[in-house]
Amino acid sequence: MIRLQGLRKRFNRHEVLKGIDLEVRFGEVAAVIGASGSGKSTLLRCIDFLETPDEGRFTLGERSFDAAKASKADIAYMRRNTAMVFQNFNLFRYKTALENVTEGMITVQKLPRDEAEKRGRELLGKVGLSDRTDYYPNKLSGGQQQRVAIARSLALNPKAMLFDEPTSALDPEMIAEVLTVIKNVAKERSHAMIIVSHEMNFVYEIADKVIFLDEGEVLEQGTPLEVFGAPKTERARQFISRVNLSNNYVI
Amino acid sequence: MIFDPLLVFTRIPKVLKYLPITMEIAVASTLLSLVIGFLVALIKIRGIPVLRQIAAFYVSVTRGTPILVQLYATYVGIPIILRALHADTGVVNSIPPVVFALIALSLNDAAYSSEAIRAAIQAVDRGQIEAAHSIGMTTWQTLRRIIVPESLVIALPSLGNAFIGMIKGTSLVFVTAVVEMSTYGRQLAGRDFRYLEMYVTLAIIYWVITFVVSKLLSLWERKLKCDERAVGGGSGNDTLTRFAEKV
Repeated sequence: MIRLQGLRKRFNRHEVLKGIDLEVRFGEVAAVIGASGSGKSTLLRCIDFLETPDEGRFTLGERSFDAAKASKADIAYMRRNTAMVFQNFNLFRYKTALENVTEGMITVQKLPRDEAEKRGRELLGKVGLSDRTDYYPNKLSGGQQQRVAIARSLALNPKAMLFDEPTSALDPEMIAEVLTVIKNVAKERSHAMIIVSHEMNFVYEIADKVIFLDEGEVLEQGTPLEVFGAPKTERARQFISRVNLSNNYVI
Repeated sequence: MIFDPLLVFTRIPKVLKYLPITMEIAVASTLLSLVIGFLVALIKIRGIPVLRQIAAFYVSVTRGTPILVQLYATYVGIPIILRALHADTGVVNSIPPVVFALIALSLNDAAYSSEAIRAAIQAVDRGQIEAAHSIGMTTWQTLRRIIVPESLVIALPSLGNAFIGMIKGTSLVFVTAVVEMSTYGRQLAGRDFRYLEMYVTLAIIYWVITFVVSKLLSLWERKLKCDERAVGGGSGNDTLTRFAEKV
């Protein structure tokens, strides 16, 4: 289980996160939705300590600590046990698809190279890229790069997977292939997943829990049916009426 | 005869005996300068107080004074400082001259390369570093596995130029009583006063060396930019499949 309590983050005088409480069990998929600037990405980045939280308490599995006073060991623990999939993929430029996936296993988990490569090939197979293991990122399409990035995250067997708008930088025809891969990962039910996404149909279909974030606060929280079907607040009603949810959306 | 063309070539083998010393000094001081330059670059990037001011002062002084002056200052100055610190005179006198040459050349070079290294490190995409952190790599691992290799690609052309400059710069270390290729050549020419032939000989040797070194550097650069090569190790495979797709 990953649990955030009272997470606050400010940039200069602008408070981006105003006390977020969030709990996602292992095997559960939580989707964070909301307008641009509502703090969705900052929320994920705080979990991975790409931003330093100002206040709050983090619990992941056995370990629980004050996020504002996180020790080096706390930060290392969070980074090792969570994995982020970025909007812009952020694959290592001078490493092949396979090397991108094995990097964490070899450098961080200290697996022997041949073992890491074996697992790396399996993972690339799982995201449908068995024939692209030796390609450098600039020779792959956006969708393929993002699938490599997902394999790279899976390689670490993280307790929590964090997806930061994984399809926002993709051409429309590549969105589906990435969403399919994420859906397959979700089906395994082996991680806590937090997905920030604007793909509302996808969220509706995949999420166990939807969190509606507005100006740094959790405004609504519930099953997709509750949040999309019967939003309690006016703000959420407005937001959801603007995103068109079609019933016949097929991935 | 005013100029003896044959002598230019017959002396090449003799002078070449001292090429290893020239190259050793150039390689050793370049490696040393990379270490110093890297540290100075990190101090600047991190903005460490006090050290940052010292680094800025060092770079400013080094870039603002001639290398010849720096060589003299090192050769004469360091023994004086050591004696002032009550070091044993015998020990001070027994320091091999090449040590002074290495200190002066590497400190001089590092002042320039620190800027190139700093710019290269800061040019690495922030997202690459975040990705490394997110898979749990420590600051040190990120530096070693991601930042250094990526910034090397950016810095290599200017660091390569610095190395070529260093090869030629070694010809000044006679100041510290080190006999390398140029100094030896001058000594040789002093026997029969054939100075002009000797300088042409030296010019040819330096030119050939720097030519070879710059070719090797551009090969290395191409190797580092592995992502620009064709997929599948540059075999005809890729074009073939592309052709097949078209048909």
